[in-house]
Amino acid sequence: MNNSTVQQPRENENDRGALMLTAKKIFWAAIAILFCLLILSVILLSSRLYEYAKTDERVVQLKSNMDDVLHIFSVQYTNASGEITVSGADGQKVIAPGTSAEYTVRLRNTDKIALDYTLAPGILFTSEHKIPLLVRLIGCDGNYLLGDAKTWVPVEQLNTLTDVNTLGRGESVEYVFQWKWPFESGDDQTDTNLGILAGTGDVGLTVTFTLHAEANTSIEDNGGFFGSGRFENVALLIFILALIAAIVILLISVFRRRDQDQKDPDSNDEESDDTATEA
Amino acid sequence: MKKNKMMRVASALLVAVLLTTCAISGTFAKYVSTASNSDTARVAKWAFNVGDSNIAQSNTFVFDPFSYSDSNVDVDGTGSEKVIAPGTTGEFALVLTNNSEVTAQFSINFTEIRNASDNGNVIPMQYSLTGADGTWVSTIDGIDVAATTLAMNGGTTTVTIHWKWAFEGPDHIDTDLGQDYDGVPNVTISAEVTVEQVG
Repeated sequence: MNNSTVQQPRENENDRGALMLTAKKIFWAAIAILFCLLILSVILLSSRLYEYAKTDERVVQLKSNMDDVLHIFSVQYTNASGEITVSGADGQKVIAPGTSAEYTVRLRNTDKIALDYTLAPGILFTSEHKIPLLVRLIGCDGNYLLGDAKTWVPVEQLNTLTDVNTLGRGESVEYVFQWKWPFESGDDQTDTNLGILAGTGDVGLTVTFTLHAEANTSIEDNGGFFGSGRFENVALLIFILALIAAIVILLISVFRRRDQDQKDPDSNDEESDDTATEA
Repeated sequence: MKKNKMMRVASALLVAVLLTTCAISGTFAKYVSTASNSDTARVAKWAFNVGDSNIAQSNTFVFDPFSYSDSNVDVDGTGSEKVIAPGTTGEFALVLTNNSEVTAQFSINFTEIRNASDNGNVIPMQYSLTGADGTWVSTIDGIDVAATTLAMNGGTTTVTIHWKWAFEGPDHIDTDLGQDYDGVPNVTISAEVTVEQVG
């Protein structure tokens, strides 16, 4: 008879059994969590795909007053006394020495996520004659992007500027564009020549604002990890929880295998005790 | 066997979750939008006419101050040679039109050159802006037109200058001028119109 069986204290066997039971519960709980996470992620994906499929064009919802006619220039201008001193014939927009104006570009993020945008102003003269307009541009943070409180810059510098920024969900910003044609520019002859040329040909300019926006999927620009309305935040949370659940399952499996190996080192299969050989 | 099966199930669940969460991110990947808008203006026109001449372009204009008719004068102002005599009178008008798209202000500076007779007498011209019942001055400088505003896009006004050689005056001077047959005593009138934009 083989008397090699080692008798363990009864308390150790009870402890090990309780531990295994707990591990088994955790194992099944992790499986259940993983399954629930799968259901949740499928629901989220379906919701995103539904919204994705609703729109014909995949555009971000960045609203601006640039959608309407820009009123940078006018048909008429008045002096400090309120008298009209410049008026374009036939209702055409004109500029002349002494005219000036200010135009505000308004942007509003009506999308559900943050948006990265690029605002690029530009200037194009309609003939080979350059017009001595001076400009300033105040950015969305109140600082000057062109010129400053005391300085105006030539209008050509609009072509050198690009402003990049991020708008959070629901946020809005404004840019203030100012221009003027000095009445006393110090070069009356050039001003006069331009006015004379305007009588026989097209001498003018076009100011353009171009706006490009993209969805910003970063966590920090969308209210942090738990920022509202951010599907991707929730998706990342599901991703991490799934990994944790998988790690838990793996660890418990390894623990249970080691425990099984310690109990029965000759057995390769917990369920196959039938294959034990007799010495 | 059972444990291996559960491990496979867990692995499959994990992979499925990872794939779906990655797909959610992808639904934001290509959201872009571009918009552009512009505004255009042209330079306001600068054009000012004196009569038919746009002095902004040509800097000159033509006017004829001594076109007049008088049946009591053999050679009056109706021919190519303009002749005046005591008692003759006439007027000339400058029609000024602001065809600019800005308010403009004009002023007129008149000048005259009077060539004297051999005895040093000049034609005793008199001028007025208002005519027979108005104030007459003995030099044309006295009727310069001060800065006057004209509205844009067709604002117009007419400045009329009246002249005369008074019939009743110093007869000896008139006679001397008439006897100087080589035509030296004469008068030339010039007008300079200055226009500038009003701010």
